[in-house]
Amino acid sequence: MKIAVISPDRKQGISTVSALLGLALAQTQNFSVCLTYTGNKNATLPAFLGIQPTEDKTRNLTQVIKLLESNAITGEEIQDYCLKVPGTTNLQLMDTASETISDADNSKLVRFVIENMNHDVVITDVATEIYEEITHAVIDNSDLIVMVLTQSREAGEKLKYWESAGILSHLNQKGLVYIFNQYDPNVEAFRDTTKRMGLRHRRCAKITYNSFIKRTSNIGKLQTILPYILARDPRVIELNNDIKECLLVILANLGRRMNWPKT
Amino acid sequence: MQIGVYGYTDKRPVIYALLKLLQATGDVALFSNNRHYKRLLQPGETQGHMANIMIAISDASPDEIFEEIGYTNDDFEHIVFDIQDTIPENLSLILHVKSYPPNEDEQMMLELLGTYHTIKWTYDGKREKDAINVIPSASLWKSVEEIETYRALLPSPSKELNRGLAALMAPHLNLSVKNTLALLTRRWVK
Repeated sequence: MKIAVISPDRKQGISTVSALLGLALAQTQNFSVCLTYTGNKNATLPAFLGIQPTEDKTRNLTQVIKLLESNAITGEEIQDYCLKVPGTTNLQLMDTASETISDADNSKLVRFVIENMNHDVVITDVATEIYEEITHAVIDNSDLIVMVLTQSREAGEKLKYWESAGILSHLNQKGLVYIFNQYDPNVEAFRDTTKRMGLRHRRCAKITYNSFIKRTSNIGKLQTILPYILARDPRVIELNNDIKECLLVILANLGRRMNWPKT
Repeated sequence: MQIGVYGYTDKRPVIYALLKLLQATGDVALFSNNRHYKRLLQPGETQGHMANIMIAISDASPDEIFEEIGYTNDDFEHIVFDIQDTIPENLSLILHVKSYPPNEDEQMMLELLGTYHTIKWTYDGKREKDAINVIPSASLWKSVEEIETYRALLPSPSKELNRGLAALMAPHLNLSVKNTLALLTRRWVK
């Protein structure tokens, strides 16, 4: 299953949502999950998960690009370049960005990665613009699009712009669900938010604002929040139901059943 | 879970504490015919939301209310019914909120309710065995006024009510009593 996580506006939390979905799918549904991302200057995802860039001369991205250009690397071999996310099981990250490769090479690599990864789930954090070729390639290769929004008016306006530009109808053909990041019930009831934006409520889920998400991602330990969420710790208890709803919406749209672990 | 709250006395401190607790664990709805809850909604509304909690003020029976609001009970994780004359089906928990001994009508309804837990406002100074005995202090009603004025679910100042509800609700929510109490007493900042 290939999932592309996109947003009509910047700074909506695509990387946060991608990472939380990846963690939840890997650790509650027992899927092998690979996280990847577009853009050569976007190092948010590795930073959130505490993955430091390493210079390994035997397996660096420049070498992979050379192998790609000479057709000397197979789809299966690219798996060896995945990095294990510390403190997790079943979750890996394919770091495709590097200062030593060009944007064009980065796009080529991302495309190769998405087409060849054999994990149960491949989640792509689409940080590039909607009009870029790599974004189109990722969307075309995906089974489901997860659109990240917030309750802000700007996000709603950008969404309307995408609708008028025909982007939404294209995404809908692929299968589109919405996740509202940093949801705050004091801003608006969730039903009112989806109604205001003209979205089908059943295709929407939310991730309630929680300071611990920011706190753990700032120190590169976002993955440490999940055990607390699953244990329904009072500090993050809202996220238990939120993540459950997110997985329910996503897996239902991929034709899969969800088994949520009992506490 | 579906909870029925019954009693002729003012049940608001119990209902607000329940809403505060339940909203942390899922989508919540409150159905009542008590017009007082309109204070929690926008002016003129009889159906709407306070934070993410759906509140519907209606004389409709528990069966009719879903048709009226346009949702089904599956749309909510938890539903709190302010029980009047009709007892909703499939209640997981029934609470009876009382003060002085109930009159005949209330007593007759209690016999129909089956198993229920009692929360008593001890206006008469008498504590009841196996009940959550709560002193109806000025601070308890002040907190109700604050909740309605600011439309924010502030914690109840009553330790007896919080501890009693935590012990009662924890098994139903699959939480520890300590964590349930933490949710009930949690202030604005999460």
